[in-house]
Amino acid sequence: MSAEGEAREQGVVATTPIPVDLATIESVLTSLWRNEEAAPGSSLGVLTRACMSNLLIVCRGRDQAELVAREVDEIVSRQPSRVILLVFDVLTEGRPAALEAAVSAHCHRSGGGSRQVCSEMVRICAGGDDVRKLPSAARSLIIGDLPTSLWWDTPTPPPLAGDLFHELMPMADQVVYSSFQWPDPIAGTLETADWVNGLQPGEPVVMDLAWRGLRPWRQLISQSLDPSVLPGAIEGLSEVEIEHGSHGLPQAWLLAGWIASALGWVPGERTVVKGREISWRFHGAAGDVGLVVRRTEGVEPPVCRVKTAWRADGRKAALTFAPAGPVHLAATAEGFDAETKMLMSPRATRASLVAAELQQLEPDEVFRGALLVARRLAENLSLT
Amino acid sequence: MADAQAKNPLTVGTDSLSTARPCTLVIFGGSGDLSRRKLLPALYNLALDGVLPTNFAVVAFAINDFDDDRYRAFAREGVEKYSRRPADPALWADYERSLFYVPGKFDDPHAYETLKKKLEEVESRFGIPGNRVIYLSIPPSLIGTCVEHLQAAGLVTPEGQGPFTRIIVEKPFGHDLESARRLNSILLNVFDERQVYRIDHYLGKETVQSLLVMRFGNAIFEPLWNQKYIDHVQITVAEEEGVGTRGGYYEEAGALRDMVQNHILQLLCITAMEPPWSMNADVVRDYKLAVLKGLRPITGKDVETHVVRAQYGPGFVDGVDVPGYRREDKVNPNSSTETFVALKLFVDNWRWAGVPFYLRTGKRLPKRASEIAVQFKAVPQVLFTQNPGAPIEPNVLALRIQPDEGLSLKITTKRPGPKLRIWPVLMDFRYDTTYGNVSPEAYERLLLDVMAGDATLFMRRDAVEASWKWVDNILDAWSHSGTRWLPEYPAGTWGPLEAEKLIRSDDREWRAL
Repeated sequence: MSAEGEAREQGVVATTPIPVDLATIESVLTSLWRNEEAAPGSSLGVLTRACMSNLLIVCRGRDQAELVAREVDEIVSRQPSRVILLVFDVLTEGRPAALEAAVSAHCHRSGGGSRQVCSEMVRICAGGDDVRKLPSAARSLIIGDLPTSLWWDTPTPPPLAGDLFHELMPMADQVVYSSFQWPDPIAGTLETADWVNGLQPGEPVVMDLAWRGLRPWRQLISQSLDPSVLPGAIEGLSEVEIEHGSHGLPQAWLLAGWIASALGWVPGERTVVKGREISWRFHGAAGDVGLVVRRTEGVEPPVCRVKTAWRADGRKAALTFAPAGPVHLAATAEGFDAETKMLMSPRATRASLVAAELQQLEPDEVFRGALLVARRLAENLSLT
Repeated sequence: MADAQAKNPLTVGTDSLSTARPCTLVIFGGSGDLSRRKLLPALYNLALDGVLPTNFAVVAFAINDFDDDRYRAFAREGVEKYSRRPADPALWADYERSLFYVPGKFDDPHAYETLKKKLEEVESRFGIPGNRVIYLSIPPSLIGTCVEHLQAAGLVTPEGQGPFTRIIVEKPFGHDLESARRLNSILLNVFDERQVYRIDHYLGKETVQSLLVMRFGNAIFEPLWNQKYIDHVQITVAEEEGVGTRGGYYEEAGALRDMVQNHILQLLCITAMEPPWSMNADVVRDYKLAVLKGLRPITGKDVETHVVRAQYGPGFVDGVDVPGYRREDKVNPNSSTETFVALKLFVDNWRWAGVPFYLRTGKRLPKRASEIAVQFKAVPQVLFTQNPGAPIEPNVLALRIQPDEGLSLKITTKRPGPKLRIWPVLMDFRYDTTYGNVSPEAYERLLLDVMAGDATLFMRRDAVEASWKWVDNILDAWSHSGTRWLPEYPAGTWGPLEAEKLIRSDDREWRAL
């Protein structure tokens, strides 16, 4: 490959995309790798082509495609894959673009830096009627015998996404979406929960990146409230407060849904909306539990603070969970003595969340349970 | 104190790596080489991955006159030098605040009082409910003393009666069957077997764990995994290094005790075991034990024909002159300790009837390489017989344990061209290139398993004693042979001629690694 490589974070090198005719993609890829292997002194050096998954990414417009293409470097450095980036609603000089394709290599150092591990990306763009051709193009490029993940990187929730999504979904073993992008969190949560709940065995496993992003929160909360550490805290929980940035409401619901479904709380009917704050009541085994979800302006979408409170020995006690600097999540006690607990949790990028998701193809029943509670919360709010 | 094992519904559905329980890791000999090279870097990497319990601390207990700050500097030095990921200044401060040090002698009761006080202080500060993992990184001769003092100081909670106390014991687990039994009874006098984790770091290696998945997670191997299709199995654990500074220890051990009794027999067990009916720790260990019980004893005269021992002489390794074993530091100039062992053994059960297992291990071999190689039987040499002098090579499935963890399968292909030319090729899988990153160190997995209470990868008392029982036959024969002469192999070679003869007498060859 004569194209100049571009160094990126994590030592990933991506070659400049080579425009190709759709029918010749496989042969161009084959010759690309043959040339590289035969030329250890070339731009990439000694390399190994690795592929553990097919990753179908769907996004809208060239700008988003550029953003995603940069994220691919990080994804394939964690999960070497054949990436097929499908871009729809593409314009060329203000008009719908005809089908166009390009291939590129994305490599990172491994084995103590002695070799390059490389993945390949095929980018196919289309506008107007040619968007209908994207599924057939993808179908021919998927490598059989490898799992296929579909990252639906658009603001439209998958069940509302129309023909393109529904033609691609049967090709996938896993569908990944992000509820952070939804313009209407209530409709998105209702529709998505119903869709996920209706999926049959054999259909793709579905995952929300917002749920994946909760993993460190779940870990810190579950360990900090562990009965061996704080006896009675879990059973005695009486209040949960969750703060999030704009577009983070579905994630806040998922977090609340996780706690509620794990602890067997049943959402009550009362929903109170007060400015940026929404409250619900849950019925738990030991009494009612209040949930407050609050939007904080000027912060990133994800959940940014969680407070859990309970009564211990007649006194109120609480733990507040919040980021502490760029790489930690901290749990701070109120009403009792305890050292602030820290969990190393470097801020997750979208790409790192997607890469982690690609490695997890099993259905997540905890997610499904959380989503069903989230649906109840959304439904209550829609009726308010 | 609450029951440390009380159910936490919020942990349901989290993966096993984050189910390590809140605890304090107490490292006896925490200022030693193992801590610096392995344990502290492993813990740092676990912290980076966010899988350590949130309520967690390390308290090192050793004779050096360190304080907490000095110990943190010691830890940082170890992480910077040996961690698979470098020490990140932004993360280090949080990691090191959970490291503590208590100086003291292992036989001093007052030191245990100080240790207890420090533990209570740390547990209170970090909200740790009294759960303790005690890592004995100390010479075996001190284990009894430490265990007795631990109990006397009230540092051991009986199993199931509150917070857990687990103890990790490093090899060697005894010197022979009798001493292994003695060590076990010392441990079990104070601890329940469920609290004892006998660590063999080989079992934490990715390829070793992967062997179980490969065997029982793929339909194509298990049907062939028996005497009908397998010609023989070779297990090699080769070391390039000499005894270095461990001459004193090695003089008492030798290759048979140091490598075969534990690492290699464990690898053999995983290779040869029947499919367990569950992955539960005791079920897996029962099935491994069955292999040890099925080993045909090598006794009396059979030792001469089935076992080769040898000692390295001077030679070259990587182009450098190296001394022979008897010239190494702390080694008797007339030593008859073996630095190399090769042996042929059989597992007497239906699956492996008549299939020889060839094992070899040694120091100062040409390279560091460990692998399990399964050689399948040859196909009938009927169809492709243009060159009767070059029969088709058999398939070989090789699992590389280190370095370059992975596996390869040798298959026969036709070379492209007009003529029918047969050529063996390798289908090769490497962890680092396929998964695109470096596998975790064995200690990372094993430490986390102890914190989670999963003993699957640890050796149980009965397995330790069964392996010693088998090895003792060979040791007895050697001690009764009356000879102090050992074959010598030049450093940097694959062992003595006798080892070649051992396998060639069966019309087979050692694999070139």
